[in-house]
Amino acid sequence: MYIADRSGEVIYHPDQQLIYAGLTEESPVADASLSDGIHKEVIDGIPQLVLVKTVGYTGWKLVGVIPVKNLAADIDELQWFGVALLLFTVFLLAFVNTHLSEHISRPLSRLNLAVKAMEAGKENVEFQEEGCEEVQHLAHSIQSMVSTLRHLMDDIIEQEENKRRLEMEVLQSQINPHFLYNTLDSVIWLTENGRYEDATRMVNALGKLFRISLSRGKTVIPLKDELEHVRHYGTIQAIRYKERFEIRITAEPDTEGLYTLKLIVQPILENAIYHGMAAMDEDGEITVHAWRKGGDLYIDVQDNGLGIPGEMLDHLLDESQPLKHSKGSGIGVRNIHRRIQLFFGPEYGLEFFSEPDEGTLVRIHLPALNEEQAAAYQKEGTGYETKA
Amino acid sequence: MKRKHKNLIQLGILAILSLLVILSLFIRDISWPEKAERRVEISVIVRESDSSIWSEARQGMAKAAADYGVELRFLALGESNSVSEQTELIRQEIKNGADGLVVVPAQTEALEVIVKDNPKIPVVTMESSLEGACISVMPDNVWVGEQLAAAIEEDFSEGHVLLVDAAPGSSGIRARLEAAEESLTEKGFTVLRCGADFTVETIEGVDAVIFPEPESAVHALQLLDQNGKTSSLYVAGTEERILAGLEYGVIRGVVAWSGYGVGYQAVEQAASAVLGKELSEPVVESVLVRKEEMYEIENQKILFPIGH
Repeated sequence: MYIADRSGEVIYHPDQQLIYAGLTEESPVADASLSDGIHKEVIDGIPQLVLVKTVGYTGWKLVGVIPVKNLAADIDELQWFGVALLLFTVFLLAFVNTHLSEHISRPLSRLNLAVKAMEAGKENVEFQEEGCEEVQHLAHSIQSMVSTLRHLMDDIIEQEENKRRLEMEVLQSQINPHFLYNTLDSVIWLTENGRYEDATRMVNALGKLFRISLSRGKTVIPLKDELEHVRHYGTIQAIRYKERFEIRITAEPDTEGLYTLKLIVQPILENAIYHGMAAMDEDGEITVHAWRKGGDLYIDVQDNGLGIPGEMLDHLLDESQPLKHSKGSGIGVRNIHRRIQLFFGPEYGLEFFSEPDEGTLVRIHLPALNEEQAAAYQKEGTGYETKA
Repeated sequence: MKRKHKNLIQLGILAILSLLVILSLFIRDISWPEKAERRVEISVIVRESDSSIWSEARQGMAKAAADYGVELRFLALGESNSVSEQTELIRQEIKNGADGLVVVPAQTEALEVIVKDNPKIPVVTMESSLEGACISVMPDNVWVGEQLAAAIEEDFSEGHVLLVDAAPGSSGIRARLEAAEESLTEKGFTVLRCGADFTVETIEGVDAVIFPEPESAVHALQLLDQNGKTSSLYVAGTEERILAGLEYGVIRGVVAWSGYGVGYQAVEQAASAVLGKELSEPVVESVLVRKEEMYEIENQKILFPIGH
């Protein structure tokens, strides 16, 4: 870098005295003639960049001369700095990556081990909620899901046990020795009195009653079989009660082909006979009517008996209230109500409508199952919970 | 176990990377023995006691020392032109481990002995040439003497000219004087000689006096000034007081050269010799400067060096 006047005379130069002594060469005159800017000149065979800037009104020129090779003089330093920077960056990335991945993967690994332990059947596996928020949430969710699963499993087991128990109760009711004894006693009595036709009808009805009760172990049977079962039961009871009441069983045409849970109407009918018709002389009437509304099947069992008192009506299906001893097979309405709800859900079950001295209507509410749906229920043998 | 093994590998990689980072940061600063630049020690020993005579040359030496990485030691004598003192000083410097010497010989012959005794120490001389020296950085002494004579011949048609030989042992000074004497004698001038012990009367009693080096000329100027006398002096070499004399007209002609350039080249050549580099032929151009020419641009460049 040097300063020269307009004529190219050096005013300042770091090697001014060497130039004066003729020991080094500079070309201020040539440089002074250059216009402001950057010029590429070859001086003494060496390519050089010449930077020229004229200073104010003095006309002096500030000239910088840089050998082109000097431009790359510091490239080595720069390269080393680049290498150092690159290595430091890689080191930093590796360091951060190691710690970050450790921070993320450790809780996940522990979670994985806990899940594996659970898969292996270990109980009371503890899911530690640690690590980042997402992993904590995941651990919490798995813990919650496992807890829910356990509760659901317990519920299912309990429901299955309930269903089996309730079905067993119904089946046992069908072979109630008292009912069988009374029926057979009635047959003997009819035979001894020469009423062979009635005796034959009763025995025939009893046989069919048991056949339908068994239904090859099926839980869901055609509606017509259920109504047939009721009809046979009604036949037996009508003969026994000397035709003091009349039983009419009807079904709407659109209920044809529908299916129902087995042995849910007969206990209702039995209650109607024992509680509604027992006090009647001759004009007792019980109707069993099946009808359909949309996707639902309704079976109404109505009598014109004494009716049910209001306070009792309110507690008929209340599980918290104690059961009163009743006559008949002993299969309570609660049994039927619970079985229906266990199979089809809480929206289904029994409804009671009763007015004192006018009679009682028990409405059985079921889904309108076709053969395919019934087969599905039959195959699974479980209730609505497992279908959900 | 597997996880522990994996952690160990990760730690190993991190350690290697950190080591590489540290190495890459400091590798440039490591002083590799084979690459370390050698610091050259050069001693400069002049023959005068007044080192200010060489102030201009010292600037050039300092510049060369900076350019070539030389550690410079400048030494003047307690008594000017003391051969024994200079000889002792040179030996001492060699003993102290000087890699090279730049010498203004007080006596050429004495120095030649030392050079022969220490052939591994490169010696560069100024003012005088020397047998056994690497190179001598000096103006053409004969030409200098001839120019001084020519100046007198230009100013005077005849007369007495005194030649002051203050350094009788210096071959350079001798060469200048002999060249001047030969020219003047040829032109019909009467040539007288004296040593460093001249008086004002001696100077005043002749038409012109030639000083082949500046130290004795400065001394003469002081004598003339102290006694209110004047004379016509012709001097080889420059110095501030010489230029003042030229300005006032006491000195009528100066043969000048760039002392800066001489000093620079002397150290440059000595450093090159120590480092085993090829030596280049020194360039020392001299010019005769009169009072009326001293402010010409080219003369200013030589007479008034710009110090940095």
